[in-house]
Amino acid sequence: MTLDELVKGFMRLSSTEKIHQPRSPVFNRIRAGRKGIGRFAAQRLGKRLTITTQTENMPQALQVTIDWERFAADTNLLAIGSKIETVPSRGSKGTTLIIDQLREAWSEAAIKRVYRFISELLQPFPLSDRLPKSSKQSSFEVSIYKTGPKGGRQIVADKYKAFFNHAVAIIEGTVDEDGFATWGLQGKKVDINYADEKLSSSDKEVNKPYQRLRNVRLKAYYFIFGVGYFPPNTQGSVQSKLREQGGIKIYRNGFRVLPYGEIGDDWAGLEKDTRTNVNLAPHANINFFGIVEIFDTEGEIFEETASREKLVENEAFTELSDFTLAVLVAATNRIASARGRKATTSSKNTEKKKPSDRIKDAAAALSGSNQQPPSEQGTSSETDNDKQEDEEETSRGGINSNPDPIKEILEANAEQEQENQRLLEENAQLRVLAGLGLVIGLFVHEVKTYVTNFNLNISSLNKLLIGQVDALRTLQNLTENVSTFSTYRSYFERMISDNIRRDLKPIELRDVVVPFVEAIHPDASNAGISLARPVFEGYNLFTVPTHRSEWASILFNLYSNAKKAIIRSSANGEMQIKCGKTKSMVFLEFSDNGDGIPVENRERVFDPFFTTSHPPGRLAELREELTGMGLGLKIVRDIVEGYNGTIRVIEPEPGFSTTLRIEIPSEKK
Amino acid sequence: MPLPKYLYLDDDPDIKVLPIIDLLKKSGKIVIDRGFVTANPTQVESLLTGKEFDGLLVDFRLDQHAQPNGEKATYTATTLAQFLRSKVNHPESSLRDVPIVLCSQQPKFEVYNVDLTSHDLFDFRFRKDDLETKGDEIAEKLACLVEGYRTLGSHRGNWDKVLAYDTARLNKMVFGQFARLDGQPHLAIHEHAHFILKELLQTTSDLISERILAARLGVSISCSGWPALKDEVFAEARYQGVFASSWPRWWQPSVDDIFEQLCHTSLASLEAAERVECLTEATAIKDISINPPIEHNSSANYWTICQALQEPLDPTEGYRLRRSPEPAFWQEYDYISLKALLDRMHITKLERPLHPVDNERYEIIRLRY
Repeated sequence: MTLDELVKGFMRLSSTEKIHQPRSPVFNRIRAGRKGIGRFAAQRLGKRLTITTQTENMPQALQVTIDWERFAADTNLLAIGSKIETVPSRGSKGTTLIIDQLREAWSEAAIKRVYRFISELLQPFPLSDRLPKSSKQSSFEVSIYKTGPKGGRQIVADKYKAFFNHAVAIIEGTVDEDGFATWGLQGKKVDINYADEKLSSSDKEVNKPYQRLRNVRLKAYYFIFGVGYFPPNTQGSVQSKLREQGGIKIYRNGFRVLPYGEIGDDWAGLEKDTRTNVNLAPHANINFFGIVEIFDTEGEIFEETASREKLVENEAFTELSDFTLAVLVAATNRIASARGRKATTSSKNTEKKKPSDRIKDAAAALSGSNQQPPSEQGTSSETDNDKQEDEEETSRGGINSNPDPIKEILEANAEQEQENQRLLEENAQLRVLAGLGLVIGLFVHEVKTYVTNFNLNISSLNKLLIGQVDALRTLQNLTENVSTFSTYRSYFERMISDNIRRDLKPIELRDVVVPFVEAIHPDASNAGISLARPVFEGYNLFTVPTHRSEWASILFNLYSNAKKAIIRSSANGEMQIKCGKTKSMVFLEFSDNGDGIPVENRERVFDPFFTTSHPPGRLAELREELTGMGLGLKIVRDIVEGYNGTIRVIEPEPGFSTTLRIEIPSEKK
Repeated sequence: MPLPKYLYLDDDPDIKVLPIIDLLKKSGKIVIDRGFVTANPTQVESLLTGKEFDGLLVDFRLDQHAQPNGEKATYTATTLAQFLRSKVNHPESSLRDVPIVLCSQQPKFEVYNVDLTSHDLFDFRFRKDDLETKGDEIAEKLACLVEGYRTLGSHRGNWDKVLAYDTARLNKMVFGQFARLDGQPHLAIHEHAHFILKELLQTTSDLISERILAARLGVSISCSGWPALKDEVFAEARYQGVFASSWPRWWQPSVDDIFEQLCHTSLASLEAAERVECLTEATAIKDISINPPIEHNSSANYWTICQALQEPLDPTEGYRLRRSPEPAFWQEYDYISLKALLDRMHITKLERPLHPVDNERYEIIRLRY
């Protein structure tokens, strides 16, 4: 801005600048804002606004600082001066606004939200650098940085971090001014890169130019949904965004042409190809976030329809759709074969492959050699195919010695059936237990009203029995028993209602340990056991996502185990729960002063049906039968290992005879 | 005056209902008659008008068990309450506007808790299992509600009288929803009662609870000088309006006045130690002590309390708990301290989420610990 523009645009009350100059001089954009909202927003955000501006021809920059605090109520506005100073040139033209002394703390989440709102205004990503300058005119970019204590800039939110970081690869394609097509890919989560690969379209030989198609660029971010491609809890949001915005959009001379790339539009034939193709590489609209740019300033190649939506679907358009599909299929096939290679060479233990993987690989080999589907023909030249097969062979060498795909499939299938049988049996067992769980849930709920009534009856009796010492003593016992029963009941009720929610989430150990200790306390004191207040070392003891009721199960099993050990030793029982964290794990240590576990049994206690309890006699209660089965610690171990955690017997804490230590990976932030 | 008389509707069998009635009666504060749940809400209306009941106590689910006469209701307490609440506005109805109190078992309240539209219908609700420990307190509240409804019946609209305070000292917007044209009838008594109970007495505004009063005066509630301080020195600030006997509160503007008269400076400008010093100098009460800031906090500029620890807190160091709906501009949020958050007490004790905005702040801060 020049001095005049600065004064008119920023410093004059009720400036008419926007009326006289409705469009901005450089980018020719319509100027927004007539009501002074920008000025209020700036004041709302921070106490001070500094504007630095410079035009191309100015040797020095202009700077004005506005201190909003001086615009206090009941002050004469005309008396507040804001001085325009000249400051050394910053070397480039442009205007910088600095709002500082912010009025509130800006959390990263708040900043990201602001970014999301702004980014809706943007094109999906900047147009390729190789494009003619003219197309950049209407684009503008938002970046949000954080300046660290040492001055370095760190990106807080930008489109790449928020979204494109999760892409497996970036795929690019070009049709040059003579109609020759090339493609390339840059692997992000696969270790491959290709550039300037020649492309052949379906009805042409290699390296023959397109007849009509000229000056086209394609850039697409490729996403694969599945384990290992996303940090925890991000896949869902990316997937839902792509469900809405995935696909390849068309920009003609820098402007979006609708409806290409909208939901339900399949102009490049990706959906159709995915459905009819046995090719295993996913390449539906949802797997891409991409744009195709056409440069056709004269409108010679592509014509818009009269309604100014859509393009006339002429031969050039058919070629465009062919080009897009061909580039994406060629690239995704390369990525698929690279993924296959990685899956086998990087596995540390030479375990045999899962049957389903063996079948997939064999099918891929089959489709690669003699069942080339028609729609895939244009995607890769003969030489490409050969190369791909070579890679498959070397990748399987050594681990898979069966070269015959059909035999491989049959064998793997038989193996899978055995596995299925085992799972069915396990499933049946689980169903029985689940049924039992439901009945217990119902019981816990139904007896609730009786507990209230026990207590109301007790309180009536308390008043009726005044003076009758013996009766009151009995009543006192009854009261305590009902109270223990009641705490147990509410703990189980809580567990069951937690079970209604199926989702796993990070659990702070306090969230499960504190209610547990509260619930179990009456039972422990009835058994003469003193349960110390749990010790928590450090804060933020969050686990990886787990299910809350699994923790109830872990704690309950550890408790009943410890209780049995204490009863066997006839000691004055003491228990303690201690929780804390190491670098990447959270831990829970459960200690008791029972009869201890001999060193030789330390490994075996987690085996199913290993029990130190006496075999239940004829008079044993049902409870003893259930808890004496030796399944308790096995269940605990199964849960813990299911989350890549460990459980072991460690050197007991001072004052105790047994300490079990559970470690679970901590929440990744 | 005879004891307030409640009608109690519950579809449960006698063995479950009678102990509840016995317990409430034993307090000596109220009389309770059991009524059987009728098939149709209009029959409840005639029960209420016929027998001069002063209040209705109702179980949440009325539709689960058939009554001795074989009838089974198809409605729940919320349907019934809405019917009765609307009916008092009908010119032809002789139904009196009386307190409606909801009681239930805890799990059933969870259904009620998410049914936001029905939250305006009841003056008070309690869990049946709370009767075990708080029977007398609950009975007193039921009696207090009846008394409050009586006062509102004769003085509603006269806020100075109803709240026993010079309401010109309060923001006019507080009573905005009760503005009316001349000659137009007042809103029903239950609307007034609901507003006073929910918006004035159970939310911090110009009316504050005992713990917040203590926090603002900088005084520890457990010190021996506290009873004298609140009951004698600040007696004038004590809320005396409707429902005051069961909901003890203090008027902040009057607390400010009293403090300023005693100490010649404004309360909010001082730190806890200074407030206590001023009070000790200005009054005869010497044994008053202060609470140190909660762990991880440093400010003693107390103005609220940590809901989890019930200890004084400077709101700028606290985190807001979510309130639904958001408080009006003349009301304040409930707060929780960083220490309690790190100890997860909002989950294990309060079972209340943080305000989403403060949650963002907390998520950054917590990583430092």
